[in-house]
Amino acid sequence: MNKKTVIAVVIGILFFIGAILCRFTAIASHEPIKVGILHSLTGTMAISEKAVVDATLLAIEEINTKGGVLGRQIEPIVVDGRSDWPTFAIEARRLITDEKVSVVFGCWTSASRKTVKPIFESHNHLLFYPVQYEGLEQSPNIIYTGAAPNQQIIPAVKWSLDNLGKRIFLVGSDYVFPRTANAIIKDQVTALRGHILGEEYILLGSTDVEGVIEKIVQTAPDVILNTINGDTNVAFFKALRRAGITPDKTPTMSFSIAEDELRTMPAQDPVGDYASWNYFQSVDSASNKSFVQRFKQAYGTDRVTDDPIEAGYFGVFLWAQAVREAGTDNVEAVHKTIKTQSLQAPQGMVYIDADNNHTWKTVRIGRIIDEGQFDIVWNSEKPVRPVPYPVYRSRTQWEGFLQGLYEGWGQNWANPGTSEYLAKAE
Amino acid sequence: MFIRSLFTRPKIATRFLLLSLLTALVPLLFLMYIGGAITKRGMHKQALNELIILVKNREQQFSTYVHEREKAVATLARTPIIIEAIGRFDEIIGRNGKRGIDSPEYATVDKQVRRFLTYYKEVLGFSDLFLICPQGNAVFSVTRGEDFGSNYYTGSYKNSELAKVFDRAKTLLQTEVSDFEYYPATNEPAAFIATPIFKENMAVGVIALQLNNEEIYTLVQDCTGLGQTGEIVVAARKGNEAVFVSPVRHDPHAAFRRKTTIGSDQALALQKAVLGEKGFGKTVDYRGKKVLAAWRYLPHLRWGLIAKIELDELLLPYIKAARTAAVILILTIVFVVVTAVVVSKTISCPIVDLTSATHLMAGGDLMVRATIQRNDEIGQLAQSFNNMAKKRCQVENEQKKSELKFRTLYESSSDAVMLLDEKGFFDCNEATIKMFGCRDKAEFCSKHPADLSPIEQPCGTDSMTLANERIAAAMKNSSNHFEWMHKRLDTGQPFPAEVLLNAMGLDDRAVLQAVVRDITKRKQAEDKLNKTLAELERFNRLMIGREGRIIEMKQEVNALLVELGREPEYIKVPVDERDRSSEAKTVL
Repeated sequence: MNKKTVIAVVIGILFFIGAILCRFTAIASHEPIKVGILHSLTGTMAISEKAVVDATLLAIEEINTKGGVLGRQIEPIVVDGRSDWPTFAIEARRLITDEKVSVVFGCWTSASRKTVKPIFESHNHLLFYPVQYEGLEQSPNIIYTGAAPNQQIIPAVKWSLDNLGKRIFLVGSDYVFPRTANAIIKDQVTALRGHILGEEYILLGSTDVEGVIEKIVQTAPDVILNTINGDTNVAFFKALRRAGITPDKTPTMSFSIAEDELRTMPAQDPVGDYASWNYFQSVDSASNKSFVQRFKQAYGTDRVTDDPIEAGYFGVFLWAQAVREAGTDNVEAVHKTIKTQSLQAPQGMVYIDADNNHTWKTVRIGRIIDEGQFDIVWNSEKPVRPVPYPVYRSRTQWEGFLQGLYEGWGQNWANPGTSEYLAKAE
Repeated sequence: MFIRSLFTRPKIATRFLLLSLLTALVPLLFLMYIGGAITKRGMHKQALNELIILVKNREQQFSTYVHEREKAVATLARTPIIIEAIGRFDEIIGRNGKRGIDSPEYATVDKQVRRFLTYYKEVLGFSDLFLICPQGNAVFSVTRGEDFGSNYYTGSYKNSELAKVFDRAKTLLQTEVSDFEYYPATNEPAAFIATPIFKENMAVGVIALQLNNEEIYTLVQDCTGLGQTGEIVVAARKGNEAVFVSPVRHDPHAAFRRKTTIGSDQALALQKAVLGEKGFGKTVDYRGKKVLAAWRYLPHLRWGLIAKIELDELLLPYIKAARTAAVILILTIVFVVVTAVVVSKTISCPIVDLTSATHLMAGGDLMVRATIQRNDEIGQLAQSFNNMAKKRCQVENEQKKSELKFRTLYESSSDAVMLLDEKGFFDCNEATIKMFGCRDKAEFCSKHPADLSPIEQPCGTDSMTLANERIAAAMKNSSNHFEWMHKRLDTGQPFPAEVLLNAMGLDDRAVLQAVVRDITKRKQAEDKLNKTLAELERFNRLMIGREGRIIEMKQEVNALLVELGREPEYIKVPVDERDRSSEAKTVL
């Protein structure tokens, strides 16, 4: 056998081995996995939603840095809902049918979520919704990583009754979330032998708070439960202080003020009041400190983390975990594996409930201190099982209630603010 | 035999054997390796899938178990008899304090509900059932344990799991499940489900039920489908430790005794599970054994649930397969060796025979023949060898004849023929030995041409010098012909000889062939002839002298006649020889 033959045989054997090894280690697809991020980058909601986009992108980047999912990188496609619900619908459809994303992380307001819900359901697609909301909803195509009412409102009301007083004044923006939240609160306050002294609503975006303040002053409640959203809060707290209502006498428990909102408010106005969330930047754990540090490193030391930011962040990891378990980014397969996924989020253990697609989360109540941070005064110690339909009424009763609101606002999820509806509200 | 053949047989057999082993074993080993890896991977994957499914099913069983009990408790909380009873108990205790439970009023209400609640507890498999009023008083218990009658806000059980779950149910106004913890009142671990009781939308108390430990353990300890070493481990997080909450297969006393510090390098999956992570893969268990595991978090009881099986057990079928493969490998080696030896014999043995025949032929045995009768290449080779041998024989014979002819010619020549090279003579014929008076060829060959000559040649040059010159000239000009004085060795008698030197190539070296002819007789004949010629010359001269004088006389006569005035009597004689001879003739 001469040298050439030997070399030829060796090369042949190597090729053979190589071919088998290639076959053996089944070559996986290295196409990136496209995911949609659907939030308002312009318009009134941009100020809140941009931070959630940042958190979502941070999570994607962290996963990509560690090699992606199933050996594939995640490619985020960020689209602008422009704080406009029809735009949300158009962009959601585009992400699903044109961009063919594997999942969408998005929405903030209940109005935008309720607009895109039928689209995700008709395409049997998947939306991760990162914001606390009023509950009374359970879609197989939405994973709710924000709090259900029993994970924010109900514990906060109970804590307020126990610690702040039984005479309660309800104030909120006039749209589906505050209306529903207050319906739940009223049920609970009744059950716990408290008293509702007043229930007032202000149009979304309005700064006309004087009437409400007047009523608060008149009734002198022990505690104000505040479900006002957006800029109205700035005017509301300013007016409260002006009217001499201070936290030491009449504290306010807010459900839509987090660290990011505090940045936009006059520093001293809300200090001493309370808020209820599942996560505060001040959560004292190593994993949270690391998360806060990474977020600030990525977006600036002046930035803060808060509940929706954290929910937007860990939602991506839960989804990635489900993809890994499914072995594919196929939406239908991930639908099955996303249920019962759990992980240690910055707030602690989170777990996707197999029955209702909501997340088991720890409940916390914080007192606003200087520097726009919270001092955590109470926590539920363990993750609370999400109950999207509070137990005081049956599911049918709750759905009837929602339908009533929707029709009452002329097929809207918020009070349109016209005289006709204002009169009705009165 | 193989080993011996490896050394004694020619290389071809060894090579063939090694090549056969290589071609047979390389793919076989490769396939065994790949096959083994695929099998191993497949088995792991299958086992892992089974574990994942098992742990998922177990989680579902747990969820279902807890959910069913939650629903049962929630339903119970809405039964009028309970709503009525808690109101009345609360009233009695509120009025009489803790002593109220001993009052006849209490006994009346207790009697009304006890039967129903006992029945309910037993049918649904609970261990105990409690009614707790909003102020925290345990106003009713089916089993009436130590905690009965105490206050869960102020009494000695205020830090118990039952106290906590009561408060949560009352606060959150929803059904709540406690952690599975050691409960001092019963002296064993216990978990509770509590739900608020509403009366006209007002929370009037809480009903709490204690889950049946046996049922929980049954769910946990069922090791079906986990082989000989597999087990289900359930642990809860207590501070910085993961605490086993149930007995396990390998440690029946593990419940609330066995702990693993979070962050340690043991029971890694367990640590992850109690921290709320979900996963699967190879890991190390609490005993430090390598296991394949799948784990999940059970949020209802805040448990980490792990199903695991030892890797060693999983490898058993693989090891069996590997053993079979090893047997196949050995059989293959034996088969290949035997085949290779047999095949190499059929190839190499004839070649060996042929080689030895070749060696014999090289040794001079031209009659040797290959005895291989085959139609393949080796047969053809043997045939060619035989043909070659035959041809060689013929050529050899002819050569021998020819040599004999030349030898005879050489030996029988009367001329001395000898061969010399730069070292001297190396061969000669019989005539040489005779001519030079040597004893034999060896003696002749030991001499230099100068030894066979007188010291000097007739020209005066010494023989050694001249001989070398002549030899050199012959080498240079390819031949040289001259006369030489030789001498005999035996008598020392010199004799003249004619020498012809011819340069030629023989066996790739330059040699000279010298032919020496004794010319003694010729010389003698020449001498004789010369003497005769000299005599003849002298006689001639005498004759010519006399005639000359006659001519001179005739000339003198003619001169005298002229002087005398008379005509010369003798004509003038021409001067050249021919004219003179013709004149002479005429004269003569």
